[in-house]
Amino acid sequence: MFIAAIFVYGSFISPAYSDINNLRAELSARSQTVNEQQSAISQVQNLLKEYQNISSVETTIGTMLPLSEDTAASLNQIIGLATVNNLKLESVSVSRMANRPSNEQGLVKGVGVLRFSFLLNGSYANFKSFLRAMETNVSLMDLINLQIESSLGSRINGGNISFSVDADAYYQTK
Amino acid sequence: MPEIRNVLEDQLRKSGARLPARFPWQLLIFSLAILGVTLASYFGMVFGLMPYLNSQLNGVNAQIDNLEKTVNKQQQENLINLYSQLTNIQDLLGSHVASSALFDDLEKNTYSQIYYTRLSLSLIENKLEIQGIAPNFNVLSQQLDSFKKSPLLGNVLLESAKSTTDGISFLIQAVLGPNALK
Repeated sequence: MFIAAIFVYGSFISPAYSDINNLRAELSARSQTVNEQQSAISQVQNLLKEYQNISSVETTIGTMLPLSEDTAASLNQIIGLATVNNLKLESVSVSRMANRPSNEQGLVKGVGVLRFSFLLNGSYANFKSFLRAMETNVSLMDLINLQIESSLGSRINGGNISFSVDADAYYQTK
Repeated sequence: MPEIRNVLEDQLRKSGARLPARFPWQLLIFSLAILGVTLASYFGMVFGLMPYLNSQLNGVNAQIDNLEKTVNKQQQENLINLYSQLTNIQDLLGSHVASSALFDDLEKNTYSQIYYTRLSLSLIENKLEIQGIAPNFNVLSQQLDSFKKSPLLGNVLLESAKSTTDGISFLIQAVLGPNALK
């Protein structure tokens, strides 16, 4: 009987005890997950409440960095800025550049780049004003290349000048 | 020694006593008790503790499922997009170019007798090329010196200069500092 007891211990109790330990470890890990998720979800719900209260922020952020490629919106920005600053828009072309992957891992998505190449005509003062407006515009745009050329013999500071601009506009990739 | 043995045999014969062959009950009871405890432990684990732990685990899993449903998919997507947008905007603003500062600097550091006919700026190569007309070489030399003092321009180089009917036609190249316009 003593041998039978040892047999029962080795064949049944020991594996059952090991299973129980595994179950306990799983239970402990899942309980911890529940606690963490509860805390995260309460934070998320608070954020969602705040976010719903300030819906204008969503619009502003969406204008700064649209959630999809929006060539028309960026083109409208360029046309608007040129018109406001008395510059004549002569030509525009758009090309899609390589996406910029996110520096951060995880939830952050990449950034898509649209390069606008356009030709403006007007005065130096107006172009400077245009450039300042482009820098401080809500819709993010960065100057990449610029060529300023005065018409035959005239000074850049006055007269009719042509401005060839390459500027990048951004959107968030899916 | 044989004498002692004989004395012992005589004593036993006289008393007529016999040594009984007894069954080892105590050992049997002890072994049975151990087997009983072992079996009880096993059945306790299998039919008591394990179902209890499993039911606890099911409860926790159900809690996790409920928590996941608390914030719906659309809300999760919106929040991820918002977080992603804010992070990307922060990165883009960190490298945002303020090129108008260059023109302010050029205006400040240009001699009034000099005028420019062409300007080429590449922010990928951080390179600036300026073509213009100076009244004479002295003014051009002073202009180069003035550019060298500019905080935005580095490696200012006079690429070419030649006398024309309008004056001295020149081409200057300069390199912008890596964070000059940021």
